[in-house]
Amino acid sequence: MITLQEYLSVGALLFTVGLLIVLFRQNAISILMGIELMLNAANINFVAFSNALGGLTGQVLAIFVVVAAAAEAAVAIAIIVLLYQNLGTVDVEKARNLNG
Amino acid sequence: MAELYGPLGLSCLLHGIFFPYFIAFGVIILFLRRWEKAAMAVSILASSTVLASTLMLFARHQGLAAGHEGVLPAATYTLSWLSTDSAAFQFGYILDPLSVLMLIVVEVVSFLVQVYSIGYMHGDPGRARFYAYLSLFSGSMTGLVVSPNLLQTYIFWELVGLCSYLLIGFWWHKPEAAAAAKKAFVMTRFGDLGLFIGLLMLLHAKGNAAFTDFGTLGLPAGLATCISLLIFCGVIGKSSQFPLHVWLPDAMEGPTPVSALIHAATMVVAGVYLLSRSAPLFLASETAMLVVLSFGVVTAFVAATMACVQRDIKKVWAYSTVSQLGYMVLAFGAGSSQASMFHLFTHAFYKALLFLGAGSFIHHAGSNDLFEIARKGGRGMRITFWTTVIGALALAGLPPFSGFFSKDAILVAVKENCHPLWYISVMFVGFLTAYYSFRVVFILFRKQEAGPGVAHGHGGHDSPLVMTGPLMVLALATICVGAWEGGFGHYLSGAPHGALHWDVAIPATFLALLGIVLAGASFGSGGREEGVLDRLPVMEIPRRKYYLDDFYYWVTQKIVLGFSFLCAYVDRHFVDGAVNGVADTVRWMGSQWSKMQTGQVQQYLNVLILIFSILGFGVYLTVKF
Amino acid sequence: MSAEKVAFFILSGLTLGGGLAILFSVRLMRAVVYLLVSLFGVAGLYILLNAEFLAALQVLIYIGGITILMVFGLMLTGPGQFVNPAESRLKAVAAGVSSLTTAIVLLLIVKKTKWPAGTQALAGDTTAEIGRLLLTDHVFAFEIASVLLLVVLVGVALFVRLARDGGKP
Repeated sequence: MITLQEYLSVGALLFTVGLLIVLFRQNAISILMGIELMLNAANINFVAFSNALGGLTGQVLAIFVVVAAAAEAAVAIAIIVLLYQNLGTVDVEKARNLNG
Repeated sequence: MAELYGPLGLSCLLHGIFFPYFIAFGVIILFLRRWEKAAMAVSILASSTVLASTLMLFARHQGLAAGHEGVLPAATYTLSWLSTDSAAFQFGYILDPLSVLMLIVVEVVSFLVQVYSIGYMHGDPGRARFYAYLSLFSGSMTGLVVSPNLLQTYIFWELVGLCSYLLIGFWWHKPEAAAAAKKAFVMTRFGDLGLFIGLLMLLHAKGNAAFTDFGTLGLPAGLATCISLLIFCGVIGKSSQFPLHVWLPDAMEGPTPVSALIHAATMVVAGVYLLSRSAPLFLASETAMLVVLSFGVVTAFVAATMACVQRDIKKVWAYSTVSQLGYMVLAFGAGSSQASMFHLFTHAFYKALLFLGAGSFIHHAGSNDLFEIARKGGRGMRITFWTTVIGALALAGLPPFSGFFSKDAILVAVKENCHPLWYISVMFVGFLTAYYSFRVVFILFRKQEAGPGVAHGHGGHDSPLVMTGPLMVLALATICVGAWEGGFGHYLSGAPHGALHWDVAIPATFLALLGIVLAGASFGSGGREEGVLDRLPVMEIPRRKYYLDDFYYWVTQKIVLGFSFLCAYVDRHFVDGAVNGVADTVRWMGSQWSKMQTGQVQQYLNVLILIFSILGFGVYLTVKF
Repeated sequence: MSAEKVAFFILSGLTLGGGLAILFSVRLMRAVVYLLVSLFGVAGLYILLNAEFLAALQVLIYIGGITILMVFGLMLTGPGQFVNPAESRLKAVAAGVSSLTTAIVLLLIVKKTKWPAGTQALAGDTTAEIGRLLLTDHVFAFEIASVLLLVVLVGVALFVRLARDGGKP
């Protein structure tokens, strides 16, 4: 018997790993992977709650998250390709037009 | 009340009076600015529609009044416009003898002036604009006349002020005209401020400013006096009473038809009309009535003396208008709103006549100067000259012209209700009035001089019929209206007016004749430009306009500018220093903080996450799960 | 220890280990493979949670779609970018500190909160039930999602054109 707490802990840790990737890696595609991991962490939580509470709404929500993630990934890849076309690199530290 | 006035016939006529001018204004200003003839046609069409509706309204309303015992009660046709917890505003029409009589004055003079302007403004490039403004003015004036409450009155009051500004400055490329327009606007604004405060106080006290409720307001005496005097402030500005009268003579820079319409017959008497409208409020306070009376007498006297020394024909009539407005105000102050309104009624026709006549002379001679007009053959313009004489006779108050009857009513009221000193002053003003009006007539009657200016040989030709026609209509009105005094009194106040008071009429006529004789002796023969009165050293005071312009100039130049310099110094050295100091500090801090903006999104996110997690820790510690 | 527990630990290990491997891998192509491993772990967890349909979805969309998309992205962004550049130590410390704080706070909250105990077994065929929910209770969100996908389709096509034209709109 695996408790809800254990699933939520896995979700929290997976979220943290994704966050670490997003904060640490310079390569835009790596960052994208980190974001996917964070979204998966959220999904684990949804499904865990769905299982614990006996409703399917959590799973439906998870499906929508998957759809949003797919859309986001497509747009993000397009942006990265465009970034590469413009700057010749996908290193986010080189994209510093927001520099004050 | 409703059954008395019938279901909708009269209100339909009121729509026909209120809307056409505004429609004409909109049409001209939007579509016809390039098509001057069409603009004129539209404007005059609107004007005739309104005039016809007004006359029909008058006929029906007077028919009702004739079959009715006493005065007809006021009927209002209103829409609820804006209502709050503490105040409710209505928008609509009021229909009673007062508004009908005023409508007649406004619409008749408007129509005649519009016709006259066809000739006077002939060839002016801005005619379309001129007719647009005239329409807007007439519409606003109509709105003012029919407004059933003080708030609507105030709105149209400001609108006519705006039109006055636009029309005085119609020839804006002349610096004097631009300055005069500004002066008129600012001077009347002083008074309007008082009116506005009075309106607000009334709304605050009663939540309602309907004229029909003025009789039953039940205000405390002090408040009633205060509100009355504040309303009277507006009257001082608009009806150019002493000491704010200085704008009216300057307003003569506008085209002459404008002077006739706005600055003689309609807008400037709006103040007198407002006094009659709010009569119950004033009658409740003796102080207010005394103030009104004294302002009226002082204005009548001061303006009459100034009219005696002017060389510019329009300025003579302008000061004369101020003086006659003083008559109306003092009649109201003497307690006879009816005499005041009757003088307004007669004065509108003969003063419009005099102004339009002056315009005809000016159009012909190309100069405003009396002596110059005489030299160029003013006497030869027969219709213009003789209608001017009729107007002057009415102004001087000789029987059987209309001015005689209205002045008689005023003198009777003053004699019966006031201290004899006031009566004597008003009598003396009557003498001055006769003098200055016939001073103009005798100067104009001089023979044409042969000279370079007359060589074109157009001396003896009168102005075209579109200009002389209105003059003749107005002259006819001037002759006839006086005889209607009894009917007027019955219509307006329900009580038949008594016969002439010979004890007042005879000395008044005698004084007027004396004034005419004095004028004739001074200017009747010879080429002198100074009469007996002009040689009196005391006449230097009216010649310098009682030093009022100098006083205002001094106030603005020395006091206002001095204070302004002080303010400017403080502003520049202290306020600006503080403001710039703050700005510099902020800018320095900004430049320091902007170093944090590295452009690295990951750093921003890092800080964000850190702060969120700290906040989350705070939640963990404080919130009870 | 039950078999379920064993499976849970293995799958969690795969998931978290795959994530950490992405973090530390220098070569990006390998990172994608680690991502695959991690996502498989998540799919396994879904099965443990009685969400078979979602597990299938996970495999199809994430593993079949998104990882392939990443590989294409890698290919399109040139040969030189396959290797992660060396990171500065300061950045590593900053990212570590905020992630560690977040992890601690999240775990503390998870531990402190009183969650409902046990599970409520979902009866029967969840897939059919999910389909019914999508087209009844959640039909509005469903339609919004389809609009979102359409917008993404058009937007990405626009981006591609921009890229072809040299980045100028």
